[in-house]
Amino acid sequence: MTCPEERVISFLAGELSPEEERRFDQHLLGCEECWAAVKADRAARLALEQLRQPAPAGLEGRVALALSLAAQEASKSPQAPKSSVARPGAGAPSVLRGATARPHRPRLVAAACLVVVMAAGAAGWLIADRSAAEPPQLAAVVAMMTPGSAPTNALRAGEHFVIAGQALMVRAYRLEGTEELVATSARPFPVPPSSHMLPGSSSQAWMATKGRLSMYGVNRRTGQSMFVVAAMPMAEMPQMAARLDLI
Amino acid sequence: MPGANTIETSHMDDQGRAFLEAAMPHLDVVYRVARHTTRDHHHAEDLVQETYLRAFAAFGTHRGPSTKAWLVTICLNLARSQGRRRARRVVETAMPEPYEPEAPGVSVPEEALANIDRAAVSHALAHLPDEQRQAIVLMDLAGHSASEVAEMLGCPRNTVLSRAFRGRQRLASLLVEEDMKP
Repeated sequence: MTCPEERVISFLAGELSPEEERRFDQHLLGCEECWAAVKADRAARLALEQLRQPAPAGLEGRVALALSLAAQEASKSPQAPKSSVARPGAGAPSVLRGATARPHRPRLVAAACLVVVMAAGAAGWLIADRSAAEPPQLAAVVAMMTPGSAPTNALRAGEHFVIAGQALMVRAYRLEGTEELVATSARPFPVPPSSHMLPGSSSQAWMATKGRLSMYGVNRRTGQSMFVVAAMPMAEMPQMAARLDLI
Repeated sequence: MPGANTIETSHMDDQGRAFLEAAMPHLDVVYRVARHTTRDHHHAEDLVQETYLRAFAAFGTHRGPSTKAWLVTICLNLARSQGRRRARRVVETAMPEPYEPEAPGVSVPEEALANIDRAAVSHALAHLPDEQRQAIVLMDLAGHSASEVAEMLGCPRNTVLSRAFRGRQRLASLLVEEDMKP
């Protein structure tokens, strides 16, 4: 630019005095270069307006769930500073403790996902296959959802299946008219490709949405792995999980 | 507008609830910053989540007038450190180049740019030099003032204004090129 760039910038930032601005306006009438720069700046700002979009639907629920789990974990270890929730080396929580023995109160200490931890990554115990299509285990459980009607007695008691070579048990719950299916297995479940891992890069816990269904799962190195499918927005999953005593 | 009203808060103490009240209204802004700092949509969401978890853990030490600026700074720092770890997953930007003014007298069709496809704008933005893109994202997408951005980035305010100006010039030029493609 042959004219001082600073003057154009000050003009665009509205920082010139009224007298300076009047003089610059006059200058613009005769300087094509400065006029083109002003027009380009304004056009770019206008185009950028399009990128001021809101966060995707579901992100708030995802963040909410992660924070809820973090708070839960923090409240369990009041001695530890809050920052410990995502610090490797914290004690590994149990996941779905006693789900088999206590059908009405499955316990998922989902903080597993918060304690990003856990040597698990280093041990490489969980290989999440996110490259394939939706895992058949997940698709089968989703297909068991019966919105608007009561689940079968077999599902309410806990029904055993072998899907894609994996033995799992599926149990139905209804809370305030909303159906939830909880699947448990001695082996980690494959993770759907569209899932988000919780939190950070740990592959222990994940969440995903499919239409109006929300899904949340935790895989463990030992003991029960699980996932829950519920016909509710992700934003409501934390409350549901708390009511089911999953977190 | 994101808010804390849909979040399960029974596990949270007063500080946790205060965090939700202060931080959740800025989710859109943090997402925009994350989205245009990373190339991958899912990676952006991971970055937002990590930002909120870090902020939640550190909320007790948060001082200062602007929670939004604090969250955005955490987001930028995380993006930077994750970028170092996963160099191939962050935005690949052109190397910073000395400013070369567009051809003098070339008129920018403002009306055409106003209607240009959002994806094209996003694509052009991703091709700006890092520093210019960052200044634009923080000012034009996140709504920070030049002074706030200067404080976040630790550089003079005039530098921020200059980077944003040059970035917009280049962006307009890229969009005109895009618009004139057959």
